[in-house]
Order: sequence, then structure tokens, then C-alpha cells
Amino acid sequence: MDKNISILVVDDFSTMRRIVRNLLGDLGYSNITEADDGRSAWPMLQAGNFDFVVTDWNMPGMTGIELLRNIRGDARIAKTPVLMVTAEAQREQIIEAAQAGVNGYIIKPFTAQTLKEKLDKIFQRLTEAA
Amino acid sequence: MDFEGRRRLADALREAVRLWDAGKTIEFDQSFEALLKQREKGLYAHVSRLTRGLHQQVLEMHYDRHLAQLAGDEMPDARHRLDYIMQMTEKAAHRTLDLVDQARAVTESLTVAAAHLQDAENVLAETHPDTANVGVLIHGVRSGLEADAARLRATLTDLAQAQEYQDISGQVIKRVITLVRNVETALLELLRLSGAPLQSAPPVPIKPASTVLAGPAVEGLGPRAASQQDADALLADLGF
Repeated sequence: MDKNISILVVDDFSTMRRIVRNLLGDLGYSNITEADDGRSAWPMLQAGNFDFVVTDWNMPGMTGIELLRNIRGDARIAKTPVLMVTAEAQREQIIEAAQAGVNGYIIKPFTAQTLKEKLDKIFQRLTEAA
Repeated sequence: MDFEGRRRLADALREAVRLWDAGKTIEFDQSFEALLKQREKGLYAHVSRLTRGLHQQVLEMHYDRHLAQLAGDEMPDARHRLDYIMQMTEKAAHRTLDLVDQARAVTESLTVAAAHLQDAENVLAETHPDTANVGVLIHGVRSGLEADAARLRATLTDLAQAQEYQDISGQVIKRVITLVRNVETALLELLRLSGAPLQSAPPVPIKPASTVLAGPAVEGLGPRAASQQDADALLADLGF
């Protein structure tokens, strides 16, 4: 996978954004932008050319699931892969995210290895589909 | 007792005295009996009016129920969540300190590498330096430094990740703050009602907990949370 892809990390906790950014950096991804909730991420997604979105679920303003639905509902960016990284761990919520079209689901707290696995899996599927 | 009541009582008493003076003892007894009954009826009416009023006030004070719910369910729940934060932050602090120790070990290894370079310098300072020996020394230093860099990098990654407790604990604390605010509102309203007991309560603003997101899973609280393995299995079932 191209390591120069543009990634948007959306989380209302700055420490979490830093952690995800660091982990992505370790995996070789350095083109990373941050947003502190869905509401600020949404115009960035519509304006910029983001190749990948990593988002939290529970955020003020616009939640991650709403952001995901908005992305899937906008034809121009509907195909952008979305990885949910969240503390929400109820079975119904995972199903809800799947039905909304999420590409991967990571439950916090998580390990660097889990993030790598999910990214690899998503990119592998995208390559297969292409 | 109002003026009209007193006047009627005085009339009845005068009538009783008149019957007594007239020697009509039977009539006197009857009239006095009627007077006492009248008085009792008034007392009962007063007591029942008080009871009705009290009942109405209790009905209007929904806050009794909400306070019971807050104190009985949500307070212990919050206490449990705060305990969880304490354990989690303690664990994270220890993890961080362990990783700092690991990084310190790397600096010791760097000092050893510097000493080996000093040895190489000393050899080169000799009149007829044994360059093969210098080559061996430098090679050893290089591979040592490469290993140190890799170890330090891994340690720093783990250190950064050990900070994620802040995200989880922040979310839990936010929920507890909401609960504290609800308790405060309920207590203030209760105070207001007891200060002005004849006013009725406004609509109750407390939201049931089920309308908000489940939030971070806390062991022993709420419905069972999925692990990453559960989530993976569930998504695999759904064709992901």
C-alpha cells in the first residue's frame, strides 16, 4: 500500500489523536491530518482529498457514526475507507457500524498490532476489489 | 374558628343554659350532645383537608423517586466507574515507569558504545595502528547502535500508547460529572419545593441513562462488552 496516502484522524481527545498519529507514523504513514470531532472533520473531508479516515465514535458535535453515514451518503467521497477506533463495545453498536458501512472496527484500549492488522486487512481488500 | 362559627356556638350555649334554667334536663343533655358532635365533625374535616394536601404534595414531588434512583443505582455505578479509573491510571503510570526504565537501559548501552569508540581512537593513535582491530571495534559499535535505535523506537511507541488511558478515563469522568449535575438539580429542586410546599414541581429534566451511548466498558457494570476478538468474529459473520 502507498505510504503517502492522506489520512484524517478524528477524535475529541488530543492524546488519542497523538497516539494514533504516532502508531500510523511507525507503520510508515506520515501524511496525517487531525480533526477534533465529526463536525470539524466533515468540511475537511468534503474539501480535501483524503484517502482514509480513522474516527472515534463518541464525540460532541457530530459522532463518528454520523460522520460515517454522511461519508457514505456523499457520492464524491462515499468510497473512502473508514476505520472506527472506539470505546463503544456493545454488540448492537458493532452491528450498527457494520450496517452503516464501516471498513474496520477497533475497540479501545487497543494495541499497535491490532491497528496494523486492521489497516493491512482493509488495504488488502481494497487491492482485491480494485 | 370564624366569627359566624363562634356566634353559632354562643347561641347554642345560651339555648343550653335556658333549658337548664327551665329545668328541662333531658333537652339540655340532647342539645349539649349535638354541640359536641358538631365540634368533632369540624375537627375531622380539618384533618382530612390536611391529609389531602400532604398527599397532593407528595404526588407533585417526583424528585423523591429520582433521588432514590440517583442514590440507589447511579451513585454506586459512578463509584464503581471512578474505582475503575483509579486502577487504570495506576496501571498506566506503572507501565510508563517500566518503559522509562527500559529506555534508561538503552542509554547505558550507548555509553558502552562510546567507550568502544574511545578504544578504537586509542588504537588509531598508536604509531603502527592495527587497523583490522579498529575495524572489528567499529563493526561492534555499529551493530550495537542499530539494536539500540530499534529498542528505543519500540519503547517510545509503547510509551506513547501507554497514554491512551487519558482518553478512556476522560470519557468515564464526563459521565460521572453528568450524574453529579443531575443530583445537584434534583437536590436544589427538592429544597425549593420544601421551602414553598404549595407550588407544584416543573417537568422533571432528568434524562434516562439509556438514551446515551454505552461508553467505555467497565468491568462488572452494564451489559457485557465485546472484546476485539468478539468484534472481529461478529464482523466476520456479517461478511467483513
